Amino acid sequence: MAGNPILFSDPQGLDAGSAQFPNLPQNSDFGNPNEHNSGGTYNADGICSPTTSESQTPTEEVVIKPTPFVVPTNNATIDIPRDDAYRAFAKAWDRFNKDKANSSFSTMILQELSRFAYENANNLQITVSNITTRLYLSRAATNIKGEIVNNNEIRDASYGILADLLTMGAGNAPKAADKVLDIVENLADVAEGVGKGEEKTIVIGEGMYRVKPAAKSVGAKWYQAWSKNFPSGRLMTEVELNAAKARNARWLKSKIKKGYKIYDIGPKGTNITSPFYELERNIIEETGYPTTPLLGY
Amino acid sequence: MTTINSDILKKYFNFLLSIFNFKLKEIKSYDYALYTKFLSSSVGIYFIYEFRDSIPQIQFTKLVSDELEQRPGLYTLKECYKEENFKLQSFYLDEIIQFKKGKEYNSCFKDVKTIEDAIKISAELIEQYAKDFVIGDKKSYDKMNVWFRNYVMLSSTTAKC
Repeated sequence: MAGNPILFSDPQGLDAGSAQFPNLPQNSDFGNPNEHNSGGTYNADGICSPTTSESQTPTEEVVIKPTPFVVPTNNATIDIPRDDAYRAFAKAWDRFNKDKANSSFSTMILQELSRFAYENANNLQITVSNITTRLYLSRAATNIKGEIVNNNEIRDASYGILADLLTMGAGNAPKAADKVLDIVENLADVAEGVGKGEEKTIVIGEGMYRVKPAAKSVGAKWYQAWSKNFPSGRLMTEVELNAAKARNARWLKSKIKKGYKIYDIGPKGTNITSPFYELERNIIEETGYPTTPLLGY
Repeated sequence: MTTINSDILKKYFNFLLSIFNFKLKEIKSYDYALYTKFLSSSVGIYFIYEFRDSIPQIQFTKLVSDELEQRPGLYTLKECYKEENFKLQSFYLDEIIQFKKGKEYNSCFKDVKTIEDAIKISAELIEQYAKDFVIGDKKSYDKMNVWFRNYVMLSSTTAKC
């Protein structure tokens, strides 16, 4: 690959006590956010054993709820608490957008994602071994419990993060970003339980007002555009619309690639007026992928 | 912004309330969409505007009860129309305009830049093409049903199985 795409000059720097945890409740499950930055070791269950200096106050135990699992597409083990990580990614993106000038939080997460990308692009084992990063992700997740509506939002947040990856000057970023997206989507799948042998299903059709109840009725996913991508008080420009369609297309192709069962509730009537459903139909036509008509909607 | 969109809708669709005695039954306004139901004693109008699609969908239903239900889509209608006595009493504005040989619905919105533009055009199209459906004219609904049955049964749009 060309050059060194993403620099992590000091990954352990994340562990050097400089990390800040804005908005972390002081009475969170993780205790004072600054207390463990200096180190400590975590056992396989994610229990933090304090270092010597910390052991003077041995009453505190930090649990970061790790749930190691295997990402199906590349067999890489990601040793992070999956739900927490996802929420953290989404939160990072949200914070990044709201306050770019004070984005130390999101920059750190972006760096982690960039490293995932780098490791993927080079077929390296993907790990999140850095203690502070793990703690950081978990703490971030603690802060946002209840804020994430569903995994579609998380997925869209990942798109946003990937978009930023592409602007970071990483030589191999586009390819790496694809890999990251796979990982992120797999994480979302697993978080939803579809990776546990349950049938993977999605619903497509014209009009989200029809698709959403249909998907809920069969316990399937549906494409949900993230509202933050909508311009305020106006419709999307052609460029924005194309980007939105590209996201939709990417989502559907990804599901096809993973062998999802696709329910199709079809057009609302005799005319297809939605460019998004038209796009989905075209992808289905082009790939010849089978869909199952879902009646009643 | 969501409140502004509601206000815009109320402004341009006020004719339903002031002239045709509709009541605003429900209005749900989000960053990404606007869903509104208008009810008269005999007709329900469901205004659906998911902004990413640029084009509002407006469904006219001759009510058989107080509830305005979502009309099923093409696949379900194809099955329904296999029964000879099935009569549809719910149509979208684009279908009504097509039935009346009006302008191609999507093209009416091709130059819109704002949500307000699209809502305004929707209201104008209703006044121009769908007043008989607004007042619940039985003959119009019945004629539309006959035309629509043929159109649906001839439609080649099916799911790829």
